[in-house]
Amino acid sequence: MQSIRMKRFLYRLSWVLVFALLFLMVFGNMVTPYPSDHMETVGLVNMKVNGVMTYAWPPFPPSSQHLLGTDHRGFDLVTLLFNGTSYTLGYALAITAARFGLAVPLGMYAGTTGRGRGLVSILQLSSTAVPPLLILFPIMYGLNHLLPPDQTGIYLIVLLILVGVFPVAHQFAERAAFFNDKPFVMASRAMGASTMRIIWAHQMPHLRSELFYAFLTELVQVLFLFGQLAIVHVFLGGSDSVILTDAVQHGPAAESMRLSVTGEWSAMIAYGVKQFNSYPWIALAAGGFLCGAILILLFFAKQMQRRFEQPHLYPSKPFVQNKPRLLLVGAVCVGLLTLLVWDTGKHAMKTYPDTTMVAPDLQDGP
Amino acid sequence: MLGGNDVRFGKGLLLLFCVWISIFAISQIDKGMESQVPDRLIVYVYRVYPFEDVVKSVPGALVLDADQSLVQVPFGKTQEYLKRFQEDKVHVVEAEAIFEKPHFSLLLYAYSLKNTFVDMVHGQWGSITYRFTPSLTRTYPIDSYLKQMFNVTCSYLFPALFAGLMLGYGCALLAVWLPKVGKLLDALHALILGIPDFFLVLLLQMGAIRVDVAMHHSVILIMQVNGDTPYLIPFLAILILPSALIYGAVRLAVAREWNEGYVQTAYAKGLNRTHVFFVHLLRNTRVDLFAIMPRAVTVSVGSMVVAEIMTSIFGLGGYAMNPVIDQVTSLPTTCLLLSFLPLTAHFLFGALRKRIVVQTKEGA
Repeated sequence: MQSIRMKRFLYRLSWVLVFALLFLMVFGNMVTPYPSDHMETVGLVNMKVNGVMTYAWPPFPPSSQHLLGTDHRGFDLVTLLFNGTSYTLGYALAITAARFGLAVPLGMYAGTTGRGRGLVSILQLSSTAVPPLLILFPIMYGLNHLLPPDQTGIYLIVLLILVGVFPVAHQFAERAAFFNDKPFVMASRAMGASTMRIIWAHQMPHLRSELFYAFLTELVQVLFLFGQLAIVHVFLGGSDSVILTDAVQHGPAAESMRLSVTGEWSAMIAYGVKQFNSYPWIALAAGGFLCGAILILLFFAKQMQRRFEQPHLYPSKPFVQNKPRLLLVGAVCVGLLTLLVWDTGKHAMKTYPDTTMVAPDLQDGP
Repeated sequence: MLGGNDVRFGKGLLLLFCVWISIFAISQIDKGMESQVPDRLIVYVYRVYPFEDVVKSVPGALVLDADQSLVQVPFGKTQEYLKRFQEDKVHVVEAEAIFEKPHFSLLLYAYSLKNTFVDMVHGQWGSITYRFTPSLTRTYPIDSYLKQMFNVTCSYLFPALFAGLMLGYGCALLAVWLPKVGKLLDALHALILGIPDFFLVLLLQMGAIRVDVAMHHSVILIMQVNGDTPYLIPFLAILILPSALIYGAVRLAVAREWNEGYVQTAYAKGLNRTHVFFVHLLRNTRVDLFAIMPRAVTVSVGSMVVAEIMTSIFGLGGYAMNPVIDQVTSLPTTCLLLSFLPLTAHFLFGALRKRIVVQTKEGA
């Protein structure tokens, strides 16, 4: 049994981790170790490998200069993945919000009135009885052969939204039906309340915490689905075609591949999994970021569930009276504002020299 | 006279069939995407040959506009007729389809669905196109490969599913019996549920590589090479997530039942912990196990597809993404086959729950 102090500590830790994730999502492209908006492709470089100077092509393994290594263009993976955080989490949040925007009204109406509840139940069974991958992959496989990459994105987004609408609608239809039989709802109906009033004024207040928790778990499910779709090379975000030449020691072998321009995580996973045998750090880095985000969200959801179940364990003053918390929030806002101003000033003053990016520890010549 | 149970059973079967057919229909929505005019081609012929004669030589094609070299072909068969005209190198300079803004056509979708269904009835389940070199491809019907693919997939799917059920249930019982072990298993359970299945396969492959390096020879196969199919990695990948799901559900169920009044009554009557656990608790947690099993089967099928793709296994789930495969038209077939298992699990466990559950509790 955890002590109360430990529970409070874990609760606060979950908030810190979620804020760190949100910070990375909004400001990730400003805190990258290398400039994310101007990265030049790196070609053959002379570098020390096991104490011997030799020529090597990217991708380079993890080192002190590139903590997670580089991709085939020589782009730092940490920079790419930080930059891609906003795209991946942004898409996931948007898709989850769209699912809820459609599912909650549908489910609440079906559960309160009873109309369409059977249909929602059947559609929920259709979309959960099989892995979503088995529904999405055949469709996207065909569309990818018919349409150019820039046109398949919108279809993927629509499919990702639709495949998750009915399970959420079914869940809230069940909850609405549960509250529908309560005396206070029956009394309200007897006094002439409309369906909208019953849903908004009577049922929704009871479902606020459940909505929040369901949103978090649905967000996690969307991220899981991103990972699975990445394995079958279905992802959102743009890519550019790069002509590569394999390692000099094996002789040049022209090969082209499509690499993510934004560092979006599922695009990086799709690329990394293909190269896993030779360059495992790419897939592990991208997969690690996705896994880390999922674990943070699940941890946060668990702590919030405990918070809702045992509110007496987490006493706090009202926000405006809580001076330490106000001070902390103020300091964070000032810090973020400073970061924004500094980044804007950096972009305004920057000039880009016409040279390729070379890792600092590399030396030219034997 | 049909009883109530028979009617419900029949309704359940009908529902299962309708869901199966709807999955088949939904998985082919892309067939309704029209990016070319579905019944017209442009065919340029050498001037010495009359346009009408060249077109008439291909059965089914009609001249629409000789000045614009426009030819009408049967609806939805532009690719087939394009190939026929392109093969006539004596008379035809060039043949091309007419592209238009991509849009969804219900007519084309219905036509494609009907064709696929008719093909399946005639035993044509689709095809696989191999790419041997950048310019050399060969197309083969999937019929000859289906049995082998089915055997390969089932060789680890069903054993892993069964092992996952045993492992999850066994760990849940162990966690309840030994609370300290239970805390460790709970932490492990939370961690496993947060790891995406593809990352799990990546970690297993990394582990296999480390073992091979340490042993100085190949011990665990991580990819399919020629006829050697990996077994341990897909087996573990399929086993882990369902066992975690079952563990979580049974653990919660046992914890809930342990606080029920009848357990206190049993203790008051002098029954020991073992008797209460095995005679009362396990029986009353069956419903939770039956509720989670369909979900566990669904998750295992998803993990199987991911594992097969990442280990390049030529099974039902992973063949389409195999590096030597250029294109497949058999995805609806394999998706139908793969979806049959989780749907059947939903039906069977739903039916079992209806028969076994004797009371329901309030709450959603």
